[in-house]
Amino acid sequence: MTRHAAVRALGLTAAALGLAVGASAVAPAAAAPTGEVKIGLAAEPNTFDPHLTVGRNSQIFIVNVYDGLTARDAQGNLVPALAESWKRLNPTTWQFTLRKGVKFHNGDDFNADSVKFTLDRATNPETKATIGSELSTIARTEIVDPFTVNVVTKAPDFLLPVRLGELFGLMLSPKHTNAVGKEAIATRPNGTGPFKLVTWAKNERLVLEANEHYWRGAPKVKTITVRPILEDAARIAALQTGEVDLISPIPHVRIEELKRNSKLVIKTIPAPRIFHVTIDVRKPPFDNVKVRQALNHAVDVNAILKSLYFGYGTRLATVVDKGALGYDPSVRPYPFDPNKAKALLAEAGFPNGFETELDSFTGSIADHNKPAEAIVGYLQKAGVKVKQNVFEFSAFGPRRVANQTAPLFIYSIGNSYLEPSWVIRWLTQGGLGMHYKNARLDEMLTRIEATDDRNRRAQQYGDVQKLIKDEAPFIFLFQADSVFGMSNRIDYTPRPDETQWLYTLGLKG
Amino acid sequence: MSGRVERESAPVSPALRAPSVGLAWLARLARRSPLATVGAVIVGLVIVAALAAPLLATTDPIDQDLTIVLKPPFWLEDGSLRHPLGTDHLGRDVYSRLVYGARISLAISVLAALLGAAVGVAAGLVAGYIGGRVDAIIMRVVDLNLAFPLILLALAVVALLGASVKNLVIVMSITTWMIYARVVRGLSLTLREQEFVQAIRALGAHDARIIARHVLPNVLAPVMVIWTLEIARVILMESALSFLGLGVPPPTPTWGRMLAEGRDYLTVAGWISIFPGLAIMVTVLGINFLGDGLRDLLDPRLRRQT
Amino acid sequence: MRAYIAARLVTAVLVILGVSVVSFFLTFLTGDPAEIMLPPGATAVQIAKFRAEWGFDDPLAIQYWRFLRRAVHGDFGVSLRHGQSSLPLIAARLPATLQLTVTAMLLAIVLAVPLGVLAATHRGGKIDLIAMGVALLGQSVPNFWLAIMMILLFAVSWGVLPTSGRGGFAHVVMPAAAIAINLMALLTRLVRTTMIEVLAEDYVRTARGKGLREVFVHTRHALPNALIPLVTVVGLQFGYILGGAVVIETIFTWPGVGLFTIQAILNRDYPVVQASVFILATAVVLINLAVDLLYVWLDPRIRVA
Repeated sequence: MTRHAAVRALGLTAAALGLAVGASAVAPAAAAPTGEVKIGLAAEPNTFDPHLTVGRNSQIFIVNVYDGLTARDAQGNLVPALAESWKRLNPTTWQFTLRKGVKFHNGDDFNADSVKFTLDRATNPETKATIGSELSTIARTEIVDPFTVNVVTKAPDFLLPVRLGELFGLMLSPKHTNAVGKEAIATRPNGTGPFKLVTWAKNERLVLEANEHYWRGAPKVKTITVRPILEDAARIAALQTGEVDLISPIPHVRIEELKRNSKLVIKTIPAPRIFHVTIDVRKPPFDNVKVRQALNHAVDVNAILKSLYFGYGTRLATVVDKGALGYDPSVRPYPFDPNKAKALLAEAGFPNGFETELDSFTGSIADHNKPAEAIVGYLQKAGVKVKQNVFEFSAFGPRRVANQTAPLFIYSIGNSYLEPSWVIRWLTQGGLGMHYKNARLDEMLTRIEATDDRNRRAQQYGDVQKLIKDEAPFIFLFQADSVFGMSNRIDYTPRPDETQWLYTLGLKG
Repeated sequence: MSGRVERESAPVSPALRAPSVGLAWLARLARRSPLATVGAVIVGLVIVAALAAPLLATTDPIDQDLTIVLKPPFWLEDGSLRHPLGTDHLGRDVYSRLVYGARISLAISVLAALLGAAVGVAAGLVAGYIGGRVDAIIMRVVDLNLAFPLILLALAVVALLGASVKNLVIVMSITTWMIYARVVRGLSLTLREQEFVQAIRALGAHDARIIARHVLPNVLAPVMVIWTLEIARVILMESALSFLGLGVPPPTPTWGRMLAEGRDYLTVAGWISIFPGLAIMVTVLGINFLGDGLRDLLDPRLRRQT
Repeated sequence: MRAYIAARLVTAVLVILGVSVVSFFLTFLTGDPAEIMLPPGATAVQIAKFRAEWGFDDPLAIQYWRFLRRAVHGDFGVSLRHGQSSLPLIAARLPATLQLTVTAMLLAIVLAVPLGVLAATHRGGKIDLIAMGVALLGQSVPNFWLAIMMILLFAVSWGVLPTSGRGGFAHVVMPAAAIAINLMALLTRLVRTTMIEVLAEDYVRTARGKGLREVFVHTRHALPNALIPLVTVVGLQFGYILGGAVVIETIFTWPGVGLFTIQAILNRDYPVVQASVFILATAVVLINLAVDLLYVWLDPRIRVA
């Protein structure tokens, strides 16, 4: 992001924030948080130690207690948070100017010390940070003055401001963290965020209380109780009976039924989770691009979206999701055409198809098994005999990393950076189960990553998508909508990046 | 694909042994225990369905058609006789899946129970007949296995080996062999001390021969009863593992899988899970009726009192 | 008697040790958790680095030694996922599981004893048929299915019970019933069988001969003796009940050991799995031990054997 873009983004939020800040300054009594909202979620965070979170489910929740240097708005744009602005001093140095007057929940001041302490802790091997890989580009953090820090990276990293936002840049208080010790920080967080953690009985309930001195202005709701409700039917039942006011996720099949309930409001939003089938391009016959294209023609993705997701999803032409920077609608998806598929297979020398295997798994953040089953069904019809293997997700992960997957496996990657290059780099790394690698593609991406201007980056992604589509190293699928159900007494707008941001949550009337 | 389904069903035949003794036997059973008769009839029907699945099924059980998903059974509005029990989330015929599901579910549970019985009976015979340190070791292994939460054991093993028919059979047999071992050990312990066995031994017969010729036949009746009841338990366990996402991989239809798959659709398309649920219930009920009846007939202590 | 108890104690300790060894190797064999603990973008180098940091790449023997040395002191290590010591984490969930399983057991016994006695005293009659039918039906329902049906019926349609979670007594009703139903069926059959045997015994005939009323004969003379095997079976079933509780705790998000352990297995959180298996196995072994001793106390003939 250039200074220009940063300033523009800043202006945007300043307008939005002006209201909240102004309101709390003029009439703090009127803005005081009130009431209680109960939430039922399928998963709870594993810890409130931001450096030891495991899985998206943790990261998307603990942002309610902490702040990053940057944040995202309701549209997914990067906006200032604990940093008021940031700029690139040179290819490997980012400078962040910090917000003044921000306090942690316990009254500690937020300043450059906090940033240095937090980033040093995250990159210190002794922390054994689970998110270490996402911050591994950081070489060191330098304090310029109490409210200015320079973060030096090992190589140019255009994504650093995003990394140091809500994803992996949540800020800790040095004093508190050192005082309570490593084990206790998991359950006794001290952030600058809109809510304080009051009690947490794992698998039972988690209670948040409004931080009345929040720098954006106090949140609207005083108490938020989060209950993990694992079983879909039980979670929906809890919403229907009024035990909770807000739930997520909801199986798509239940949407229409719940929409008919006048006491409930159902909201859906495209999630940046890109479903695809990875093809092992090293192994014949998949080294033949015609075979890969045939597979893409063989699967009726629209029918899958209609029958399994009841239309709450978006067909994708490649592995770039619709909300991502530079999504190019002119790159059209492979049309469903079984005859074309058969013809392509015949051209490739497989008029009678061939036999192969496809891996899928259960127990991950989304249901991969049902779409996989449908895909296998379509491939059968095109003459490709597919044996489907099902693993528990935790058993599949090691297989993928050890390159022991079947030639085909279904997967989904959450584009949490909302930036295609991050996703594509990972998907075409030529290892960890993803064997496609293309020097030309890498070159294009490197050029994009060196471009600070968002708009100019966006334009270049069109060619990338064309190339990936033609090469077809995946069966391109879809992104599914996230589904939120709420009672009509609350007001909540889900975010497009999966983050469960409760600051904007309010009670009606 | 149906070729694979057929191969897997071959081991169903051992189940036939129990009720195929003949009409006279059935008549005797009917007089003594009406419930057992009902059980025998149910089990018989399920076995017939399993064996004749290719004849009974109206369509290929794994043939999907996404244009006709979630169609209701024929007696409901929008239903048709083409899919008498409706279609599932991938437009597959619930009735045909149910019929083929009988094969897989029965085959898996009969096999698992059989494997468990074989291991358990062998362990029990050896422990009871030989006694001493061997007995102590075997019984400690039994205790250990019993103390290990079974579903956790099953979960860990399936997670380790991956879900497949073979692995499920192994896992479920691990959870069932102990009960045979305990019962058979107790019985062979008593048998060993009995005069006729002592006499044979005095005549110089080999231990292995004594076990095979004289001890084993005497423990078969209670083993038979336990085996029947364990099949019922294993059917339920298969459905529990399917519920946890660790059952037989798709698209192979099993009742447990169908039940687990259909649970999201309960309020929208209940037939997907209600029919396999009923199938499981009725079959397990039938097996339990039969097992109880067998016990009444075979257990000498109970027979004495009638 | 003392020698008997001592011998039973020794085997109990051996069994618990055995269980912990098996659980260690089982979890080890399922592979290490590096891939599922790291964000999806992690590269091969980062995964290797993470493995080394956590000691997952040490040889099996060294890891086992480390495990054993700590385990003797009751320390199963820090949960990989929760960052807290695993044994206290599990121990904190024990009350919830005990509340659920004990309620389920009591519920099963309260229902099974009268049903079994009725069936036995009306043997061959209609009541017997109905009682046995009910019992066997209970043993034939997949309990997770029953649980979901109950939620839809009692919580959503009728609104009389809470949907899930732990709270007051109302919260425990559905999960306990879902667990109890299988046990109830088993116990009903057991009570019926033993009751039939006991009713044929001489002393019961004598009591009857003295002209005592049937109900009195049944409850005062026959029933107490019929209950002895019940104690054993309930004890033996405890392991199965804990197993069944795993699925039911998942459906109702009951914050017990079963749910916690299943999540730990799926997340490869070894320290928690090992601590949990240790605690559950110890509970099963101790209860079986207690049952054995109770049995000896109830039925002096065992002592001779």
